[in-house]
Amino acid sequence: MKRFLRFNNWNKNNIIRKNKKTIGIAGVSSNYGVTHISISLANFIHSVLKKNVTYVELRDRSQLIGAVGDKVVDIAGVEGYKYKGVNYVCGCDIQKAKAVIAQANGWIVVDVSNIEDDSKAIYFQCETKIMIGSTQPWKRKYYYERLRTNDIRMNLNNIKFYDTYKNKRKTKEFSQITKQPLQTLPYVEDPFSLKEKNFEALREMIM
Amino acid sequence: MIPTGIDDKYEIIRILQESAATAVLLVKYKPIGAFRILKAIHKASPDADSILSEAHLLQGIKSSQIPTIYDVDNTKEMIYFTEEYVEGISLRDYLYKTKLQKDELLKIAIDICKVVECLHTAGNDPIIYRDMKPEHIILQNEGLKLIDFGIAVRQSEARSAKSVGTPGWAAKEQIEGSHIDARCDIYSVGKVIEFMQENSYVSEDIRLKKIVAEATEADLSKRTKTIGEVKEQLEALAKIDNNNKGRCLAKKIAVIGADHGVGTTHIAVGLNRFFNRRHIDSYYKDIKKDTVHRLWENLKGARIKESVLYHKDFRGLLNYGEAVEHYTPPNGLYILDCGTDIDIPTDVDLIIYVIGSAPWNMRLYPKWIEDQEVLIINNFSDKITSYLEAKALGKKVYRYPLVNKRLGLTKEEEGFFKAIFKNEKVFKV
Repeated sequence: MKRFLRFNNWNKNNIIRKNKKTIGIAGVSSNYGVTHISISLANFIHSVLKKNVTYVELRDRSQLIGAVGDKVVDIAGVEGYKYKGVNYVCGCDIQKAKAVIAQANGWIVVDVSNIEDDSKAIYFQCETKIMIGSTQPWKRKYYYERLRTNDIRMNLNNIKFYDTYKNKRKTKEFSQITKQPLQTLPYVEDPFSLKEKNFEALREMIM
Repeated sequence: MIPTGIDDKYEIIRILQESAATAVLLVKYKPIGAFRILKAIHKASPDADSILSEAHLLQGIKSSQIPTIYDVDNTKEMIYFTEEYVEGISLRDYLYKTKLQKDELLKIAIDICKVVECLHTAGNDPIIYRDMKPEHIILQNEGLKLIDFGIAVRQSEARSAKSVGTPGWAAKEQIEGSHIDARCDIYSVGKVIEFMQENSYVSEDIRLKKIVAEATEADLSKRTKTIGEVKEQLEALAKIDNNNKGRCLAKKIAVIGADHGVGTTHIAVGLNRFFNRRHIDSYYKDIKKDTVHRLWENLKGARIKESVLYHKDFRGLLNYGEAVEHYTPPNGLYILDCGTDIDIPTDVDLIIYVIGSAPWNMRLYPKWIEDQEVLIINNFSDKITSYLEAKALGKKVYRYPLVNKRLGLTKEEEGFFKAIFKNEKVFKV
C-alpha cells in the first residue's frame, strides 16, 4: 500500500515498458530466409500495426546497409538507420544488441539468423521466439538435430516453429514427434512492399 | 523620357508611364498596324540592364497567360523592347464594378495559380514574380493574363535582388529582403484570393478562408509549400461545388469534437454504420489517430480488403505506412474523424461539431460553427442543457441519445441520424 501511495507504480518507464515487445527470429541453420521474414515483420509492425519498431541484425557483417542505410539516426545511443519508418541497427555484436534491446522503445525484432553460443542468450530472452526450418527430406535432419539441443528442448512450449515448405504429412509427423504445431512460413514477395494477403499470417507470427 | 529614333517602326499612341530615365508606351507597329507595349530605358541609367533581364525572363516562359515578347532593340540613347498589348480589364477595376459568384472567384483563382505555377516551373531556375496584385491581373474574355514582370527574378539571383514589393500584397520577408523564394508569390496569391473573397457573395466561406489563411501564413515553415497545392485545394473546392450544384451530391463529412471525451469517434463510427445500413457506401477515416488499425487488432471477425476494414456495417479506411503496396481509395462518402482538431479539411461538405455538457467540458467554440454547413450535436446531455446551449449559440443543437452499447448502432441512434439526415440520399456518391 505504501508503495502505491509513493506512486512507484506510476513511473513513466513502467508505462513505456508495456508498449515494448521483443521478437526473436532464428533459423535452424543459415539460408532459411530469416532476414527476409524479419524485415517483413518489422515493416508489418510499423506500417500496418502502426507501432514504433526497431530491427536488430545480430550479425558481424551487415547484409542490409546497402538497402536501408540512407538516413542515419540515433537509436538508444547507437548509430542506426531509418527506412520506411523502421529503425535498423545493422551488423550488431552481442553487447550492442543487448544495449539496444534494453534502451529502445517500442517493438524490437531481433534477426538472430543462426543460434550460436553467444547469440542464444538474446534469443531466449525474447518474448516471442520464432524458429524457421524445413521438413524437406534432405533438410529435416537439421531441424530435429536443433530440437534435440538442451536449450530448445527446455523451451519447446515457448517457441513458434515454422516450415519453409508446405507438406501436410511432414507437418503432422513433426507435431507427433515434438508435440508442437508446425506452421508454414508465409511467402512475402517483397518485404519493403507488403501485400494484404500476407497480413493475417504475419500477425499470427507475432501475436 | 520620350524615346526617339523609333519612328520608322512605331507610332506612339499613348504614354502610359514616364520618368526621367524610363518610359512605357502604347505604340502601333507600323508594318502591320498592331498595338504593342514598348518599354524603354536610358542607357545611362544604372538599371539599364534590368529591362533586358525582364525581356529574357519573359522569353523563357511558354504560357498563353503571359505577354509575348516581339522585339529587343536599342537606339543611340536607349534600350527598349516591345511586348504584346494585353487588352482586357484589370481585376481591381472588375471588382469595383462586380461582386463575384463563388464559381467565378474559383475560376480566376485557379487561373492565377496556373500562371504562377508556370513561372515556378520554368526550366531549372524558377521565376519569382514578386509583384502579384489585382492591377497586374488582366481579365479577358477567356482567361486572364499576368502583366508587368519588372521586378521578377530568377531563384538563383534572388539573394542579390533588391528588396522590393507592394506593401499589403507582398510577403514580409520579401519586403525586408530576408528570404525570397516561391513562397513569396504564394503569399501574394493568397492576398489576391482574400481580396476577391471580400468582394464576393462567399465572403464567409470557411473553406476558402482556410486556403487563404494557409497561403498567407506569416511563418514560412507553416505556409503552403507550393502553388500547385493551392491550386489543388481550389480545384477540390470547385469540384465539390459543381457536384453540389448538379445532383446535390456530397462526399465528405467531418466530425469534430469540442473537447476530449465528448464522443466524437463514437458518433463518427455510428454515422458510418448508419449510412452503410442504408446502402450508401460510407468510409470512416481517422485523420489524427490510427483508430481503424486498433479496431483491426481488437475486433473479432473484421476483415481487410484493399485498405478497407470491414466489420458488419462498419467500413474504415486503413492508413498504411510506406512499406505496404498502394491501394486506390474507394469512392463513397467519407466520414472524417478529426478528433478535437478545429483545423478542418477544406474540402468537406458538412461539418458535425460535437459538444459535451459536463461542467469541465470546453465552452470555447470556434466562430465557424455559425456556418450553415455546420451541425452541432450535444452528447451526454439532457433536454434542458441542449436547449440552453442552443439559446447561447443562436443555432439548432441536436441532442445525441444516451447509449450503453460501445459498438454497433442502436435503434435510438439510427432514429437520431434519420431525423438529422432526412434526405440522406443527397450523400449518395
